[in-house]
Amino acid sequence: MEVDLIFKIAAIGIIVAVLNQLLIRSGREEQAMMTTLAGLIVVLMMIIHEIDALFQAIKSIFGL
Amino acid sequence: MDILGLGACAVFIAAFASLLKKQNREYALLLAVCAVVLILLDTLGQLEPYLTRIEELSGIQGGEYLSVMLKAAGITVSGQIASSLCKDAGENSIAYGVEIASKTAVLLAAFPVISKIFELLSKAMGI
Repeated sequence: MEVDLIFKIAAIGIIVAVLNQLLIRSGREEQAMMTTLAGLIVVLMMIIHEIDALFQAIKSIFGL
Repeated sequence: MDILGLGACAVFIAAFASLLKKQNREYALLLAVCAVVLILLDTLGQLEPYLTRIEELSGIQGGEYLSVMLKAAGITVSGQIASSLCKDAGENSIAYGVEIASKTAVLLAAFPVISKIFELLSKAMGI
């Protein structure tokens, strides 16, 4: 089980949260929104491969 | 991975998710999605060899019903993943929609078996 993927996602979440606060405190709310959006897309691209593998496994095992 | 390690890992990931939930909720959801996907990949990977043995065992009786049963199990598993993740995100209405969809899909998958049973019943009772 690849646990490092989970730690990567948690790390990205924490970094983006800190960046968000940093940008909001310095008065750039839009950049903060952009940073969160970018982080979200990065994490989604990482997960999409695993989700595809899971659904292929379900399809092959249960014969859907 | 044995169940003890898996349980400890799940609790640890839940702690991470609750940490992330304060600032931005979407990352907690993505963490939950990733955790569920990895855990199920691991368990389905372990299930794979036994399923082929079940198919051999069922070869004696009607094997066709077994495939419908497996299909229904697969549909419920994926439907349940989607609806519980939607509930995690707080979207109960979307979770309800996915549950209804998966229930109808299971019903449609089991329909030929149901109609065959009714035929047998009517023949048995000579109607």
